[in-house]
Amino acid sequence: MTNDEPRPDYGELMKSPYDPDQKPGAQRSENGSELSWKPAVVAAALGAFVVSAFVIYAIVSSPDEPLDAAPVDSAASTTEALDAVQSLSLPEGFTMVTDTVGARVEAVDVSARATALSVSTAVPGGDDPGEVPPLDAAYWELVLQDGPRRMTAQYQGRGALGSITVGFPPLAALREPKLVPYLEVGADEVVATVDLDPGVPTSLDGYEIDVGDGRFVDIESLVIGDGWGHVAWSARGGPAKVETVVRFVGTDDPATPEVSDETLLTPPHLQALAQGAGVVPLPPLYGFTGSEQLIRSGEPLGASNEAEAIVVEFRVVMPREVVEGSAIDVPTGG
Amino acid sequence: MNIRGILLVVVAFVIGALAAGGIGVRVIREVNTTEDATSLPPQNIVTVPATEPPTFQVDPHETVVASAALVPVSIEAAGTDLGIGYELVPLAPYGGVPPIEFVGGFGVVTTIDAAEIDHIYPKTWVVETVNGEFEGGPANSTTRVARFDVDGGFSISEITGVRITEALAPFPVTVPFTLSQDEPTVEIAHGVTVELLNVSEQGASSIVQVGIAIDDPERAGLFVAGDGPGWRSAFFEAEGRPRVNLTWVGGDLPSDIPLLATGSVMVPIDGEFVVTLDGLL
Repeated sequence: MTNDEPRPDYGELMKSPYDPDQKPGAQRSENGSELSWKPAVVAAALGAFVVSAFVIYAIVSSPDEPLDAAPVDSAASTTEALDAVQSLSLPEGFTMVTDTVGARVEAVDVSARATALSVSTAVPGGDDPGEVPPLDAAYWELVLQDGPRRMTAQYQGRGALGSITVGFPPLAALREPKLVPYLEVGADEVVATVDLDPGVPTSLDGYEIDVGDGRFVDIESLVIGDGWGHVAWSARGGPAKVETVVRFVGTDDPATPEVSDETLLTPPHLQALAQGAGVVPLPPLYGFTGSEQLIRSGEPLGASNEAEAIVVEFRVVMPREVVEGSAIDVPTGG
Repeated sequence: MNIRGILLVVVAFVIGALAAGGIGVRVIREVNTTEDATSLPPQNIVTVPATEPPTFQVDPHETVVASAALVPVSIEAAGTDLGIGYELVPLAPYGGVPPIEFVGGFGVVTTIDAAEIDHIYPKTWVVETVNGEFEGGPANSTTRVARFDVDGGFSISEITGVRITEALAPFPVTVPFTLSQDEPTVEIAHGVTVELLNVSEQGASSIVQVGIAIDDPERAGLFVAGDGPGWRSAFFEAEGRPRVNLTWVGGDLPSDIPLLATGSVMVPIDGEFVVTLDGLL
């Protein structure tokens, strides 16, 4: 080889597609023509953009519509999911009525006076019953073939924790009955105060308490004596819990001058220890009507312990909204 | 751009659209799922357990009766006496419920935690053996041993099965009723009667004394008070036959005296319940 001979173009032979002089985004095809990636990337982005715009439009314009073409029965799906869970985690025969508590009707007592359903409650296996509050349904309905019946009252008791008795009007026959709980979604509380003249006996009739949104509690009668009382009420627009406290303003127990302890009339469950009964009862559950004896605590009224005024406080709680819970089978003895 | 380039652009467009569509469908489902979860009533919201849920409530050898789990803890045979010890574990929720406080003699207050309250009363049991059946049960609702009179020389190995044939559970009751001179006795619940014992005048007050008769004291715990305005607090006399003294201050005592019974009664739980002794034999 001489210096006059032309040098072979080794650079061309050694050129790699990844060399810097190669156009970015371009590649040679087998036949040597150049293919650019830029239009492909732009096209992919455009496709994604178009579909994304459609997705955003679909979300904004119809949020309640599932995208799936096949209709989905969400209630049925939820029920199936509940069945699957409760069959594994609740005792046999219990139905999940909230996300923490299941219930089962154990017995039905039909008498001329009333129909009473005994309802047991339980938490799913593995849950600590001491950490779960007792079931507090707004109300119950007994669904029969000819329509639903609304409860007359529901009770809980100290000696029967976790058990609820639900009362209905007397019913001659129960055909394929189902017990349906209605559960509160939020609640509103109102405290209404009424001033009365200090003399006893005295009374208050026809006093209306407006809880808002069409919900009222009517104090049908409040009778106050010298150390006793009784209140009766009814609710409109939903069930209610009503606590009544009568304060004899200006009274005090001379045995404890260091503290101000007025003479009060309260429901038994608000007393430190109910007089005579020996056991403080649990507070009433929701109801559409209610009546309670009011029990004195503090020094008896008298010449040395006279009231300057009587102040009555009604604490009213009503559900803001109720939702229908899962129906529970009711045994009818065959 | 040649035909291959055009094809590449078309394919890229489709791939981009499909990718965004796939993500979009997922997004829409998530959005809808979130909205459903927040709008669903609480009883419909269920947290699916991440692990295999247990097939029992508190113990593999439990027997569930109403809202309590009965767990056998011991078995012992001596002579003609067979005893099966058990625990009762409450399944009913009682979170936030304060303990019961009883006022006893001399004002002594006894406290009972909610978990210690009897949730069921497994009253009658049957032990099945190769030679026959033996009926027994606990002495009362607070006992935790079911006892059986068996034949002499009885061996635990003879047991082929155990079942509870009569189980009771307490349920709350509130019963308004009236008593009168013409109708002085009323049955307010099965096996529970209230009797008007005496009415006496004391100044402007009337003292009404009623007695509560319960066929089986294990089956009910009831208190009677006046119902409606005009009644002072009632006082309970538990010595011997339960009596309640009521003071009426509402003027003339009505001929039909309005009263209210509250408390709990034991309700029979339907069915028989097999007790598993696998953990003890």
